[in-house]
Amino acid sequence: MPKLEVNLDNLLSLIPQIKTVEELEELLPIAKAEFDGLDEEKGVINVELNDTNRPDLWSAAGLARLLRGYLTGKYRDYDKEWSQLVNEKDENKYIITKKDTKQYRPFVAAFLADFEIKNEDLLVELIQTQEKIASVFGKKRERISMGLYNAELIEFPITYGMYNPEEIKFAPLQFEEELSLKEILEKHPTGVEYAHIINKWPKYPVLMDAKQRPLSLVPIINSNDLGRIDIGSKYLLIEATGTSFEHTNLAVNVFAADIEDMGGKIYPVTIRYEHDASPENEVVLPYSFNYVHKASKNELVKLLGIELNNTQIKELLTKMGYFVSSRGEKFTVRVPSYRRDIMHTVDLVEDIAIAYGYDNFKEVPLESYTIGQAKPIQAAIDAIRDLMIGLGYMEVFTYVLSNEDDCKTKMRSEEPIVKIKNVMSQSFSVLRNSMLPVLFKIESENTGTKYPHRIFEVGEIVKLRENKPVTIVSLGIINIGQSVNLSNTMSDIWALLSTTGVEYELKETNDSRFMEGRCANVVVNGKIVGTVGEFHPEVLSNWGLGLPAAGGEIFITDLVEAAKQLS
Amino acid sequence: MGTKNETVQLNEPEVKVLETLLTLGKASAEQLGRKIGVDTGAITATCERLAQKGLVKIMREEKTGFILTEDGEKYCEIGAPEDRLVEFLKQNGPQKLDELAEKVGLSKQEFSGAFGQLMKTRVLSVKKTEEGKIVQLTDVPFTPTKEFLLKIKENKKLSKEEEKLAKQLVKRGMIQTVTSVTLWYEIPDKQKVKELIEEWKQKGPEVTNLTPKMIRTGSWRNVRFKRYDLSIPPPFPSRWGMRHGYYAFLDYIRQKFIALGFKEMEGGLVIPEFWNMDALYMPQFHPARAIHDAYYADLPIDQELEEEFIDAVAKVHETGEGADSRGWGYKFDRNVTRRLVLRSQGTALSSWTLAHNPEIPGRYFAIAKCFRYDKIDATHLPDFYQVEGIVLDENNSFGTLLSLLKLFAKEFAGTEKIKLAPAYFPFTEPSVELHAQIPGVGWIELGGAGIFRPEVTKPFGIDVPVIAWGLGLDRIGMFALGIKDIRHLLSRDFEELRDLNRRMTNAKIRGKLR
Repeated sequence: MPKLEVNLDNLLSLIPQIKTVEELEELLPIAKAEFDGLDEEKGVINVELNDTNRPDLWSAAGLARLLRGYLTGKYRDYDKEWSQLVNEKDENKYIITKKDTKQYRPFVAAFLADFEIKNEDLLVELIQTQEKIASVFGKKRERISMGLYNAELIEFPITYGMYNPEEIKFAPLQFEEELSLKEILEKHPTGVEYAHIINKWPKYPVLMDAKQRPLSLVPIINSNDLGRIDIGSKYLLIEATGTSFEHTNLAVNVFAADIEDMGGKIYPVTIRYEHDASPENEVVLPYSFNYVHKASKNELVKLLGIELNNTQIKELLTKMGYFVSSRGEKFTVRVPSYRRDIMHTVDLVEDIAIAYGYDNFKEVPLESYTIGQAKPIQAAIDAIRDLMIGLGYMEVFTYVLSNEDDCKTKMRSEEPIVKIKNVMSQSFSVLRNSMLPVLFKIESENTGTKYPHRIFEVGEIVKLRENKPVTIVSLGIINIGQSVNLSNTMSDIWALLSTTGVEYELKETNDSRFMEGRCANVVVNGKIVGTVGEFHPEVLSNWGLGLPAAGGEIFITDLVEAAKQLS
Repeated sequence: MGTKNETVQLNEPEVKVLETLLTLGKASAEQLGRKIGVDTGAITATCERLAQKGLVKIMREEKTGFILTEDGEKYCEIGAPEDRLVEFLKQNGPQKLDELAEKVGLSKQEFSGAFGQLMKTRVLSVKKTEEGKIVQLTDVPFTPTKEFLLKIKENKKLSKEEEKLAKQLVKRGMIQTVTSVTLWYEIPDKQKVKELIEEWKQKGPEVTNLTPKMIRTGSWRNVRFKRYDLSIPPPFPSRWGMRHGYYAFLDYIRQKFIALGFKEMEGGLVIPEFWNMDALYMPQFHPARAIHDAYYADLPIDQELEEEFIDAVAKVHETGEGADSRGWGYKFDRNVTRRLVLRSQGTALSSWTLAHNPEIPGRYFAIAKCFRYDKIDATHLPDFYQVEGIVLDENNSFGTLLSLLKLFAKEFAGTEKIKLAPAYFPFTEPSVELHAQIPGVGWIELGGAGIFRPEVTKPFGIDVPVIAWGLGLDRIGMFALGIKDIRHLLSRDFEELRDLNRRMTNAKIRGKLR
């Protein structure tokens, strides 16, 4: 989830309706945001933003826009302003998107702005917003990345195309020496970090100005000469590239609205697509999605369970930033183009609810009549747990994730096991295929406690059956102590199994986890539903246990299944 | 009311001690023990009780005695240096002084101590000759020091003369002084005790156990049963079965939801990404998916997932078709959706239920083990339980949802002080977070909820609003049991388990868990 770190005074100055951090904290839920601490010394406030689908809220300007609008009901109509934009400075501001970008990273979007970067704070904030959009919304630059440039240095038109990894050279940011595109991926830290996005492509995407000077290796790093902004930069080019037409344009729209809110003046840039991935050959940015959502009053209100009249609905939606008109029961809701999160009427319904205030809803108790019930196997699980407790066994709690050393090596078991592909920690790299290893692990952690120990747990295990993972519920039992042997443990197992009332047989078997001649399968209706026996001394040593132990495992899922077929 | 005598209850060991004390007059625990034939510890405890009853007087006597040092012990075996010196001279006649120590096998220190002692008691004399100094025995009788050491070892009483000798041996490091405390017992009121014993004897013999024979023959009437000493802690039970406190808590949660009309859902731990994410309208490309990063099973993709389910969900992701939605607008990957993941959220069970003919109206819940792809440390466990559920009802509204959350806060956290905050989940709209004020803890997040998006319900043909919620179990459990650290709640330590069980039982007995 994106976290925002902004200068408190800056943020408060953008919302003149409030004065204090307390008032701000109270308002934050409107933006699904949470106060996450204040560094009083630096005057920096931390805010956590929960909506991953609202990049327009991930900057001080954007967050302030919503909170201010919520308090005043007033928003600038950017779509209207943007549609009237003309490039007073130069008609020639366009980017040519070459055909060869189509199958790799086809879209580019950009705009120009008169906006002076007056201080360090502002510079840091712009870079922060750009990074946040690229990393969170752009899936760590894979889908979207952004760049900021001092436009005074750049000759238009710009070209966006693919180049051989060793064809061109430029000095990337923070570097003085010129590197080939390939070398950038190998030598520059940012190159190394993001190389995986492009290094399998035969050519790499590059933005080049009219004088054939590289601006940026997309989506990796900008040029140290033409691709940087500094304190004092006054005329900016803001660019985004990406794999989605909609989201690439959205990223630029979000930035454009922010710059304007901070007092900048923006100028459009036209993208000329030479390939056909774009729905339009010429796209002018900022881009107006012209998205109008139509909904009936009923659709907007029914789900909330409250009564609202047309004026109220209009007011509430307006507070949340929409441009609303209505005719009778029909509402036309225009969504500003820095948002693309409205997919269904329910998205508007939520904003109505937020503006109305969650605390203002009246209670509507559930009225229908339904019958509660535990999951089918639960009754069997509980009955077996009761029996084990009655037999003097202590229930323990273990984890499902385990490792091969515990489940295989230490247990002397060869049973196949489901492994995790993207392991986080080697200790938790497989799903247990038996309750016994995890019970032994717990025994190995409790050697200092007075013996004998009688422990059990009913838990889920995952068996590989016909190479498919099957989750079953299983009972694991360990009885360990000076005078424990199979014969006295069998009394408990007999008590357990005979009380189930299920006809069972014990069939001698060889199982490397147990001692030879002291191990049996529990068979119900011809099916093995468990194994019991006296544990092999090597297993005990492997777990650092110095006392004899007996016990075993009953697969409750299988037992229940076999018992069903019996009757 | 009984007489004074009747209020004093005696048992057999006490009577034995009293009787012996009457015979001996004043006696120590050792003496009593020897006479009665039980160990001194038991006598001390019995006399302590008798003293509390006012029948015995305890007197304390401190005494200085001697015990052997390590050297002393050694000399008890092989003889003290002087013993060996005298013995050597007896056997071999007079010897040169400067060769003597080596010949006898004594260290310089041992020799000088022994020689000094023997010269002082005139057992030895030294003669100067041309060859040097010659040592020889005199006629003065010599008692070996070994004998004296043995006397000390056996703790025999010493004469005044011997006390002097003992002090010298202390200096020579063969023995050391110790102070011992002896408790002496005597009976202050002999007449009263005699009466009590007489009375006790008239009641017949005292036995420990009621036997089947006594019951059968009725002989229990003629005996007295040994009184049980409540002051001695009973032995630890050899078998003590109990529930794990956390499982007991989960049982409680399950029972609550059943009582609220919810049916429990179940499902596998390794499932296609489809149920875990796609069916919940989490786009395959989107950051929302990253929030629920999952563990992937190292297995081939699932081939059994029904095509019709994939079709419906793919459509809604791509174009929103079938749900009056714009959709996410991307190409849905039908292989990605079949990849097997470890269930990362209990909501996966809800999506499965939606696709498999749920009852309408219907209420479902699950206590689901989940795996979140996250770093693992003391408080981030490799796998954990979530309680999640859905309510399908034609009359569901956001108001119903908020009421349900208030009910949960009251039922599970015992509080009516709640905050409902707007929230974001990819699969619900509107969405809400439930915060509750817990006395002594403050505001905490209990869980999240919302109404499933039509993009989640419509592909499975569900046309009624579906309320979905999830509550954090661990926190609720911690409040219920008054535990501050999650590690304690999920304890793996046997000693702690009993404490956890005690907390759980206590919460039930005090009506805190109802």
